[in-house]
Amino acid sequence: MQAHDQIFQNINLGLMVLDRDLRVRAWNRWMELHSSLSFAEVEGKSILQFYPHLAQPEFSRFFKSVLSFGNYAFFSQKLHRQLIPMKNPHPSVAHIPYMQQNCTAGPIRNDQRAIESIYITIQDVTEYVMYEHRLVEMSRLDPMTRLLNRSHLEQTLSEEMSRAQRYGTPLSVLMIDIDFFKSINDTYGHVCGDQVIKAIANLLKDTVRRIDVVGRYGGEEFCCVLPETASDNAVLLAERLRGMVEEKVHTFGAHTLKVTISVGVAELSPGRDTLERLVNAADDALYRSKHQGRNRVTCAALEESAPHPASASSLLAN
Amino acid sequence: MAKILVVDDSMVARMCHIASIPKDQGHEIAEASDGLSALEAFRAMEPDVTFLDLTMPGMNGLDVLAAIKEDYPNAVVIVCTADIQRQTLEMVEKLGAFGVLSKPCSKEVLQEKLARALEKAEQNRDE
Amino acid sequence: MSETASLMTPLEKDVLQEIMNISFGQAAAGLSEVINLYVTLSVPYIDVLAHGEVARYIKGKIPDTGEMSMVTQMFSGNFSGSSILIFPHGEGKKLLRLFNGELGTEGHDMDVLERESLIEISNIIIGACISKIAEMLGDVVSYSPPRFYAREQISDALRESFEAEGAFAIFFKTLFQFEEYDARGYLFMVSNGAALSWLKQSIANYLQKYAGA
Repeated sequence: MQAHDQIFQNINLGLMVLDRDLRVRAWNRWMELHSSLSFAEVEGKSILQFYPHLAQPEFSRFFKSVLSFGNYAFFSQKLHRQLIPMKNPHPSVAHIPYMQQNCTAGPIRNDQRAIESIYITIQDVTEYVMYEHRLVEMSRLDPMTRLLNRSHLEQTLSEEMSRAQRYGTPLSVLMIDIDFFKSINDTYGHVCGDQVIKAIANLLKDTVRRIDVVGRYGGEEFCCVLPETASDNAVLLAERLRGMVEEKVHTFGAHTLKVTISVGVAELSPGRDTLERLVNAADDALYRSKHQGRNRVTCAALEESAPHPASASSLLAN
Repeated sequence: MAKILVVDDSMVARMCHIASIPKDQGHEIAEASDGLSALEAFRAMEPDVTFLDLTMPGMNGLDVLAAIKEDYPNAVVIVCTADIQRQTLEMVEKLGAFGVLSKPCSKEVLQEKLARALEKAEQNRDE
Repeated sequence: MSETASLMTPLEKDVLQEIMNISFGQAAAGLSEVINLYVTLSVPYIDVLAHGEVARYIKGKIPDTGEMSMVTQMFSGNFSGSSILIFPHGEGKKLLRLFNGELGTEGHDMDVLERESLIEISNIIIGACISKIAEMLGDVVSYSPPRFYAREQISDALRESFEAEGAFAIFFKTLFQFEEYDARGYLFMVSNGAALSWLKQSIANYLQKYAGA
């Protein structure tokens, strides 16, 4: 075998050559391995026969720009994910079923310098995509609880607020705080405190709907964003969460303990139309739950504007 | 003999067109290098055939064509352009151009088009 | 600039201008065929500059580079140089619609998608324009991969690319627009001076062929 052929066959990159009518003229071992199609099976046949989705404009643009302009063309993973669907060969297959691909193409000219065919390279970038996902996750999630961190929670909340304002749908938030958390830490130690935070984080995550967003707002404080939910239903959910936490028994070594939460509920309203005002209203309601004995849910009244926590509030729990 | 107007902002393009027009028939040839002077030249000369470039700074060829056709519905205008996008061709046709020459254009193609344009101009005169 | 301008005669500059007019017209037609969009390209502007002046010249034409995105790509053949596309920042988002369908936008930030779509489109626009110019001049060129710069990176990238003093550059500028998407940008091409004698010959060939001169 010629040196070039050996490289063509053994390189860790998918290589294929298509003629002007999209017929396969070359197909290296990498392609055979990952596509499960041998060169003998595809040779001389239109690639569309095996991958009909390539009739889409994305591929036609990629292919035609090389044929018409003789340039080097790109097909990026970020825009298209993959050119030729192939099973992800890495352990990440559980998260990313298909191999992520960055592709390039260029012209192959004959002796008269006319473009006779094009080559396409396929690079497997699945592992990079995995790392990228992890990095994004690290920047978004609180490492201990795997809930959204505060900055991402606020970003999500402000997006949800503009959506709700645009479509005129209700939106509520819950501010949740673990009661007497400091004394748990003082009595059983921080490891126990962390375990309680994780347990409550999981309980919140498992109880809310899929469209709801839960974040860790501070040390022992959590926030739930509830799109398309008015305060009456938000209070029902808060009450359910409160009851579940109250029932739950935490085991730490030889100790068993129970904790409770206090909750403040606030719904988006015309007088409460900025992130700060909405969060403050929920915070004030939470403060009243605490003040009135903890382990309870308080809802900020709808007509009440945030800066006046002393005015009418409706106490719904207990 | 006939009157021919060549409109193009490029001196070289006008030179190329004029070089392709047969010399032996004694045609009277005028040139214009932008849209406004093209309209002036057209009114002054009332040419039998006009070669008109599309991409010119200021008033472009499509506007010139529309203005000519408004005053002289029978004017025989050959549009010269390298831009042969479907949308461009449709606009040119809608505005009533006699034909389109795609640039760069060989002597033979230009002469053939000119001969047919001159016939058309003669028919228009007879009507 | 006067000593560089004299490197080409007015007639040669005129011929080159016409070659650009035609190339860009054909490029627009080619582009609309490949990306299925109506494109308009303005009358190109040509100048001859010293290499070291290019960066300042471009910045003079596009004063607010801090609000722009830029894609550059080198090409080489007898006719060699760099092509530079400059878009107002955010223009790439309008062009994202070109990639709808199977586009997986979730999990990506818009700036990344804007960058990727500008690179992909720029690569096609540059390919269309350069290949048509090369074709008109009887040349075949190859391209290096495109590079992307955003906002404050632009100024430095321009300066670094065109630092060399002395060498002259032939400079082309055009404005292109995708009307359907209300998107526009500037295309600059800087040919390096090494191509000068070859270019003069190609210009002479063109005149010979179409004007019998």
